[in-house]
Amino acid sequence: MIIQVEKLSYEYSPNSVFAYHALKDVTTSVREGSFTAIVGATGSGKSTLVQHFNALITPTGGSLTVDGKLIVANQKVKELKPLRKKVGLVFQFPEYQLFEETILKDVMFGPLNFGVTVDDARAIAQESLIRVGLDSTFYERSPLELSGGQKRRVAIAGILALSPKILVLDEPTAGLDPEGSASMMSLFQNLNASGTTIIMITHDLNHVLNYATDVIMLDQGVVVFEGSKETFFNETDLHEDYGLVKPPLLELRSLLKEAKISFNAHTLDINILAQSIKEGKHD
Amino acid sequence: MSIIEIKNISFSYNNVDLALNDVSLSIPQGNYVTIVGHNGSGKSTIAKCIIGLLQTSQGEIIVDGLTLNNENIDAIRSKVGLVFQNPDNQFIGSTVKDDIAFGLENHRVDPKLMDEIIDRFAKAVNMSDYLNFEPTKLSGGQKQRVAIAGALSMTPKILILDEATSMLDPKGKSEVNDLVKQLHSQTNMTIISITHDIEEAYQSDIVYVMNEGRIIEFGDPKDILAKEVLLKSIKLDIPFALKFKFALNKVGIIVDDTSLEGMVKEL
Repeated sequence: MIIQVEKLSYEYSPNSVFAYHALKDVTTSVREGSFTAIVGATGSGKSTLVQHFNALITPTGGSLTVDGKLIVANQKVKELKPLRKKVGLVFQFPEYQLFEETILKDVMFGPLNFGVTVDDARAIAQESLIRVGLDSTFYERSPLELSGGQKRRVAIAGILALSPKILVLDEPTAGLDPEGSASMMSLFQNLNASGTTIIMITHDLNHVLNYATDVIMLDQGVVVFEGSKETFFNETDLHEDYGLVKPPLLELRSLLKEAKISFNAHTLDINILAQSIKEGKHD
Repeated sequence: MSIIEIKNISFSYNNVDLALNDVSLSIPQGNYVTIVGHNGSGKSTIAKCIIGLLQTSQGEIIVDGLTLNNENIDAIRSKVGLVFQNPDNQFIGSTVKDDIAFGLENHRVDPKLMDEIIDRFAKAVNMSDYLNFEPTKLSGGQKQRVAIAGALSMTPKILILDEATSMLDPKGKSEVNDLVKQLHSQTNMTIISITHDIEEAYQSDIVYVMNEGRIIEFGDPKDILAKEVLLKSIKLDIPFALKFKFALNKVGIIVDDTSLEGMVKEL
């Protein structure tokens, strides 16, 4: 397990009238090399949980271990700085965080901050930009000239420039058009294939269906499911109980079930599903 | 009768590339119309031309019988409500109530009448319980519903939604889509939704498909959105229900209906 969370609690504004327990006694884990989706309704604690993964916040109770580094309640954040390099955190709408004059400079900012020389930082930035699909014609342009999807690629290149072992993404495709969304997801899929552990918060069960290997589901600060994607979709109706919107494929499966039509209830592939309906008809 | 008549308009942002290239369309009163296309296809530019935010280099736009020109622009704008993409960029008031009141104040509505109007439209978008809430306490879907209430309080004949659901989570999306469907069925309002969401387009009366500043197809979504090769070529996908229909066809099962419910019934 690259991340192990033990009885972690987190309370916003403790000891005040605004005190709010965002996470309650959470125990869960993330497999090294997995593509783990974190799902749950708005306010279920997803963002609070992932902000612990690079010690942006530390627990108010319990602990977690990230790639061998133990983080306990009220720990000094200073000694956790190395984690920031290991775990890249991409917020929602990261394009709002671009600030440099040129795209290349923006991506170089992270490595320079971690003490890399200017020449090395430039080489790293160029490589990161290539990985997100932006060639040398973009280097000297202002980030402000780009489209939304391109800006987001620059922001992600900035994180990749730190070559994190774990990449945490908060709703990475929100607001992108279908093409932008698909190419963004295939970028993460490639990073995952080359060994990066990907943790992705998403509301879109279609993305879970198409890209994730593992699923963690939260509800009101508590883990209500953890396991493989297949188990999540095939053996539980949890996603329905917690008010998530079903992908159309699952909608179809429910309709078929209601109509008592026999079909292969384990496949997530529409052609196999159609074939199984045909076979069912001959029985 | 057409409520919007667009004749051969063109527009360029930089005087080199045409964002709209000789576009003509005619939208019948009371229809729910969707305009689909990938980023940069020109679909949002059309909306901005209709209300005169952008000035076309040629062609003519007629809204509810009025030709768009300097003289008529205010009259046309009062007929069109507009809701944009980002819920945070269009929330002006410090509470839901203030936000809806903003437009009314601008139109010099008598303050004595305002409360009643605000209550009515907050109710129409199912936000009556939130009148004194601050925007930070609202979800994206709720903010967009308030934006729609603000637009409706001007009693427009036409409501234009410019990617109004693209920044929302699936729940917010379905809240807003359900509201739009409800408005369409209960009022005679013409709705034009500019969207990436092919599933939403599938629900509409007429769909226009745009690519590179031109309308390349339009008509009944059941016919237009079945054109898999065409849609793929401009980087759009076909609706899930049609994917299922084709998958059934491939294994030799022919169904007539075009909705999931209908197809399952036939099986």
